[in-house]
Parts: sequence; structure tokens; C-alpha cells
Amino acid sequence: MPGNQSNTRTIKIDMMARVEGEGALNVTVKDGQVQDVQLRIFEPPRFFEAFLQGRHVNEVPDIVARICGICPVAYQMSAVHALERIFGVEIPPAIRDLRRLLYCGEWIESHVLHIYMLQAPDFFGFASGLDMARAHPDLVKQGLRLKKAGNQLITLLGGRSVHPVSVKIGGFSQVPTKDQLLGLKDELLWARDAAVKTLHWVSGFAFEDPEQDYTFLALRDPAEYPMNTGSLITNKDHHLNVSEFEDHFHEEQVPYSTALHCTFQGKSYLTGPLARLALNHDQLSPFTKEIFTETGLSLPFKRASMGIVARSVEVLYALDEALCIIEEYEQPASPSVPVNIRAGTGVAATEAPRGVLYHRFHVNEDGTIQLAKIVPPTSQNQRRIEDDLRNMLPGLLHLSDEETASKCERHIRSYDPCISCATHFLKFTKEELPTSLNIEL
Amino acid sequence: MTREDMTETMAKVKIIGLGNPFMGDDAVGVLVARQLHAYASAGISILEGGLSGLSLLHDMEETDTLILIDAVHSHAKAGTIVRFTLPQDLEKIGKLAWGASTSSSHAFGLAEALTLAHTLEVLPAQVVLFGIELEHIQSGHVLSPEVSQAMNNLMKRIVVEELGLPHA
Repeated sequence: MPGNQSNTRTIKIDMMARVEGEGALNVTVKDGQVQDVQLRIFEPPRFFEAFLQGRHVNEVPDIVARICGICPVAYQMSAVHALERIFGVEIPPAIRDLRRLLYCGEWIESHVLHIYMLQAPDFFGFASGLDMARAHPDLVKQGLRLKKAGNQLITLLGGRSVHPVSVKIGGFSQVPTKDQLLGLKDELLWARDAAVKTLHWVSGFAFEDPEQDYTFLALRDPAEYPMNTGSLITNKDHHLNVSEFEDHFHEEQVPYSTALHCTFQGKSYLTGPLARLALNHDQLSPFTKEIFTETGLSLPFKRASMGIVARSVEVLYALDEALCIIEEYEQPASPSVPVNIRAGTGVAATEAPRGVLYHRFHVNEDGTIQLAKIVPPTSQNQRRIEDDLRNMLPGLLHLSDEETASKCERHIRSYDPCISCATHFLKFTKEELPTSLNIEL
Repeated sequence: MTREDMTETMAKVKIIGLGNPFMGDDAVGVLVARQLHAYASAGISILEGGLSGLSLLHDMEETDTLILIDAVHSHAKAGTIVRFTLPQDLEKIGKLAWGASTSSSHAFGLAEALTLAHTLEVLPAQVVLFGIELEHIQSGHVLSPEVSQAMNNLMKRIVVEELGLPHA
């Protein structure tokens, strides 16, 4: 109808390649204006919240380890810390250090996977990590050996390489000897050198996405780069105890996604490596700071694509920290402290590779779980990703729909969201033409 | 070197069960591996591989023969057992939906991890992948009857045909 013609353009990415879990993106553009951006995520923690009810607290570390194949340690750490708060357990320093060492292993594994296999291929125009491996096998082998250094830490401390089984409330079921840890030292030294090279490598990439005005959220511990402890801070002067999390961070259901959207005082925010580094870079080890200075880059990073640099900094830090912990380690007399199970409510937040992971448990007198609440990093970042895309899209609309979709997908992937899918499937509809054009790739 | 380390070094056959023990039939790979623990020895190591495809690349090192077990979803009859050899069957494997690559959040599916291992020339000399057609992936521990029966059959088959041992 003349004068009332609306050009509606819908860009859909039904499944996004090289992103954890499952997800989809719908973008609607009308008369050249972005009308709507909807990121749909299907995430497993919701199922596990229900599954945990009625289970004994001692089963919790093994169950939550199955929520994510990439970050089982994070789920275990948030869970045991929340439960230990209920039971009044004080963890001795040596056990605390081992938990930190275990977390170092997970950061290394998770970050290296994303750096080498998921995000780096985007900077070189490879369709996948597999394609990059075909063209540059030695580079990918270096990445896998680096990842393996993290895997070895998890295997030694967790009892096996995936879904660690030795983490328990009160400590570990077994701890390594000093000699066992020292046995990893040579490989960790190699890995630290490789991490230096990795950081230099990624620092030279072209970061072309626009800067964003992020509200960063991370834990802050006065004594260390945050992993298992600390209070919540932002770059906008907020200081909160973890016990206040649910007073300020609200999860809401959105009709298009099974994941809950979490907002901070009604607005989007960002958690994860970019936020941790922005708010805690002063806590990095001297060696990590020195190497970072060599890159010539300055903080805070305001581009999502620079997550690859932040992850590389954290890999280097985690290796340096791991070497330090191993050097100073003295095997504790007992792998765990006694635990008196009692009824109560406990919360904890730890820094998963992808950001703040919050758990709340209500425990019955008999030690069974009455209620479990889990807020994973990806549901916290979801709104922020949508806001990014809303900001970016006006500058992309002159491109073909295929190119626009590809740039959106790449941007989402740079966040390392836990919404993966192994298949590349891009679906696209353009309704402004007389006949609709459907392209499926 | 600890005894465990020595066993690891000497291992000639490695059996890895994949899947999520809390997601119905997706547990089957892990459960077969657990049942095979009785056959572990200096030459045979058994692992629970869980959900992470890419971790397989670390787990498959230092072995001559690798046997993988996972749930598969291909619209065949529930409980159907399929056997693939690698790298010959990589393409076929890539066309199937594997339990460990569909039921949880992880970046690298089984088929991709195996393709990557082949690309980087790190596949062990002999690699066999068994798939068991699943009935459902949902909450809870319970295996469907067809998959439970297939689990027992596959366990015996691996002991006798792959390991060449008498089945107890």
C-alpha cells in the first residue's frame, strides 16, 4: 500500500556455530530501524535446580559437575562454598590453595579452547577451528598442548580429567603429594612460555567492533585475583556482599528464551574475563603485568572482541599462579576438615571462566536439598549481548543480510556464551522484497 | 612414578564411555565403562569421558587401541548397536547426532573432536566407536529397557570381540 509500506527484515540465526550449548538470534528491522533483538538460549542449569531437590548435600558436587562439560569445577566451587557457609566450615589455607589451583586448571582449559578453537578462527576467516587446524596444524597443536596443561591440573586434583570427583564439602577426598605437583612443573613452565606467545599473538589481532559502555561486574578480593572469594564490585562504584546478590540482580523470564535474563538494577551488565581484568588487573602477578605491558594495549577493554586478549592474559596469570602455588605447597595432614551437616541457607559466588556464578542452597535437617538456585554467567550476559547488537546493527544494515548475520554471530561468539552448537545453520528471511527470499546455509 | 602413572604408561587399550549419567539414556556410554571396570589391568584402562568432546584428544594419547562408547540418536530402533572404525567411518559419524554432543553444553562434539584428531594425526592406530541408539534424553537415572538390554549386550561384546577375553 503506497505511503504505508513497511519494509520488514528479519534476520534469524537458528543455531550459532562455535558457541557453547544451543542458541538462536532473531533480529527484526522495520523501515531501516532495528525493532527487536532477541537472543534465545537453552541452558541446562534450570533442569539441575529441580534435579537437586531432595538430593543429599554430599551428592551435590558430583551432580553440579555435570551441568557443563567445560566448567565443572566452577559449579563445584560455587556449590561447596555455599554449602560450607551453611555448615560453618572453615577451609584451611592449604586446601584453599588446592581449590585455587584446580580453578586455574579450569580457566586454562576453558579459555584456551575458546582462544584457539572458537574465536581465533574468526580473525582469519576460517569457518571453524577444524579448518584452522587443517591450515595451521602446528598452531592448533600448540593450543591443545596448552589446554592440556590445564587438563593435567584437573586430572591430578580432581581425580580424573573431566567432571572431577575428588571435590567434597570440607575439602577434597584426596590431595596430591608435593612430588606429584612438582611432576607437572616442567610442562607448566612450557605452557607459561606458550601463554606468553599466545598473548602476544592475539594482541595483534584487528578488533573492529565498536566500543561499548559496559557496566562490569566481578568479584574483588583484597588479597588476590578473584576466583573463589571476594565481594561484588562494578566499575560504576557499586560494592555489594554476595549475600546481597538477589536484592540487586533480578532474573526475569522472557517469552523467547528458556534462559532467564538477569539484570542489575534494571539494566544490562557484563561479567567474565573483560570485567575481571578491568576490575582486578592490579592483582595480576608481576610477570603477567610485565608481559601485558609489552602488548601496548590499555585497560579497560571496551570491545567484546577483545575478550580473546583478556582470556589470554588470564591463561598466563593462571599458569603463573599455578606454578607459585605448587612451589609453596605443603601437603595438609588431612585432605578435608570435619563437616557437621545442619539445616540452613547459604549462598556463594565464584568466578567461573565465563564470569560470576552464583549459587543459593536451602538445606533440610536431614541434609537433603530443599531448594537450589543457580545463576550462571551466560544468563547474566545475555541482556548485555542484546544491547551490544542493538548498538551495532544500525552500522551493519548496509551489508547483505548474510554478512549482517555473520557479523552478529561472530560478535556473540566473542562473548564465549555457554550456548553452543556444533552445527552451522543460518536461516534468513527478507520480507521487503515482493517475493520472500529464503536462504539456508 | 606412582602405580597409577605406570598403568597409564603401559596401557595398550583405552576404553572411554561418554555421556551424562543424569540424563536418561545418555548415561549408557558411561554405564558400559563402569561395568567394564572389572576388566581394567596394566594393559587396559577404562575412563569415563563425560560430556567434553575436545578432552578426548588428551584422553586418547598413549594408547594403541581406543574404544569409545556413546549414545546416538539416528531414528533407528532404540537399543540398536552400531560399530564404526576410524578414520574410515568419520563421514558417517559426522552425520549422526551423538549423545555426548547434543545433551549438554559443550563446544566440541564427538564427531568434531575425532575429525580434529585425524586432521592433526593424533588418532591411535586402532579406533572403534560404538553407538547405542537412545530412546530418550531426560532427567533422571533410569535407562529405558531397550537401552539397558543393549548396554549388557555391548559390554559382553566388547569383552569377547574387542578385548579377546572370556566373559565372566
